[in-house]
Amino acid sequence: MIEFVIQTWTILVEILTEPWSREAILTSTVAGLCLGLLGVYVVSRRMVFISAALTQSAALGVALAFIALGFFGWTGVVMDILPPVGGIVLSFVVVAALLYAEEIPRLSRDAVLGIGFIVPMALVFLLLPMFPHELHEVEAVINGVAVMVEPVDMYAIAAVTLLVVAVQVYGFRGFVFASLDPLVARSQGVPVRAINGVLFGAVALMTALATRALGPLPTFGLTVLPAIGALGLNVGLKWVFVLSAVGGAGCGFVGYVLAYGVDWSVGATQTLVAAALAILLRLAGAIHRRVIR
Amino acid sequence: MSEAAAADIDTNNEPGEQPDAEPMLLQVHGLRCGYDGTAVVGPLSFHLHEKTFMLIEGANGVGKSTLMKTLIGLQEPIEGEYHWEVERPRLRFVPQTRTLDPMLPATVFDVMATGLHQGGGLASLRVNINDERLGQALQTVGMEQFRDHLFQELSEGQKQLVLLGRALLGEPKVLLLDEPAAAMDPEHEHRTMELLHEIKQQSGLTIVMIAHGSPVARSVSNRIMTIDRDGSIDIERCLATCPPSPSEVGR
Repeated sequence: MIEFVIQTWTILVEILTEPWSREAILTSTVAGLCLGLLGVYVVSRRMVFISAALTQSAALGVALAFIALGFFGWTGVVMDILPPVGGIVLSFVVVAALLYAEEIPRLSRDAVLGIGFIVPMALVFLLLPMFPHELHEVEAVINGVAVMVEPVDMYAIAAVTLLVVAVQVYGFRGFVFASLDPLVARSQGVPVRAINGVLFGAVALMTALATRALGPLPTFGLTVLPAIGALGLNVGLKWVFVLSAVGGAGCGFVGYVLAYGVDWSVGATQTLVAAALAILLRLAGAIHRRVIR
Repeated sequence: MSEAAAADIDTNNEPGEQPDAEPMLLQVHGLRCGYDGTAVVGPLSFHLHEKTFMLIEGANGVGKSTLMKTLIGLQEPIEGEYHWEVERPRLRFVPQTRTLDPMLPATVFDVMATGLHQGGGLASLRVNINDERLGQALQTVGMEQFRDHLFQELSEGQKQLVLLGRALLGEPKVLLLDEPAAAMDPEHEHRTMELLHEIKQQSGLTIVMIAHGSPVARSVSNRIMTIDRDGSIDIERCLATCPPSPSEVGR
């Protein structure tokens, strides 16, 4: 046991000493916090495949950006900025379609997410062979790796997380009302449509940034799994959000340390740690319900 | 609910009750309501006075809920107009319990807290939770002991009482209820109607409620609006309380 603690401590010190791994573990932790928080809305609104749809649409945005760069011969700062901006813009297109679907009873969220997943994927497959030089860059977006993270991605994720947490702390009950009982919320003057826009926008932005920095697997896993676990607890809504956010951050951190220590894939390990947390929380919830009955 | 049980609700404390003598509260002129430009109900013209307990009846699909959603401002009328002589925040809507998302593990406290939101814009996102007010509202509906229970684990009747308590937090002048007794057993239905009647008497509330030919609901009402398949309406006025409809006699 003591040997295990010492070994873990050594790995931790090693990770935090090296700038590349320190940035990566901090990014995973902060992204996990934000994704875990937003994940409660994603899971409770039954749109868990939003991550998949946003990843594909972001990839199409990046592909289009590279094609534009090649076509116009742009270089320098534009070359750094255009691909992520392209990814974010296309993610927001999916979000706009989702908001539209909210207003049209005949168009379900699932249909929008399905289109948002399949059509960009097909377009990326079609477009990329025409521009083989950009293939690697787009693949890096679709299959990003959490083992190393660019500092710019870390700062962007930290800034968005700060904003999301601040907005949630300010208007937590309003956001919950719009999700829990939108009909009555609207009748009491709560701007449900604007809230949905802010919420879906935050999910799109964070998914685009986390996918680019960590890859799609941990982004999907950290969004969905801690929330699935926390939603099984009878602790009141405030604590469900707190636990999901802290759980997401913890899974990002622990998953990175574990993967580093045993030389596993970082994204896959973070996802499996999150799955274990979800199972534990669900079990705890079931036991608690049985005890109080 | 048997007629005998319905008669248990004491409505004799308003002898000769005359809502027509009260100030006008709602005026509706040529109102047609529906979806995507297709009218489901109307054209309707009627008015409502303060302290009225109006029941809206009619077969499934005649547009009762559509009319209520239009009157509460959740959807635009297709044609015609209506005017409330009361500020919007004083209208409170009590939906059916199934409209609340069962995926979010909200406690009774969480659900009640949503009743404190009002207004628009950023201000409507934040609420100062007043525990005392919240507790009083729960006490009014007899649900104070369930404050920390999960809303979804309550019975349908209990859920409806919590939603009624939430609506009371807005200190409403008008309550609009969409089939509150839809999933209730007769005992809970009776208790809820009794409670609504008491609240109306004590607070001078106006109540508009959708119900499916319930004798106990008719017994506490003093107006009954029946919507026909052709979209027309018939309003039955009852000086004290409305008796069970002929179709219910002998049930």
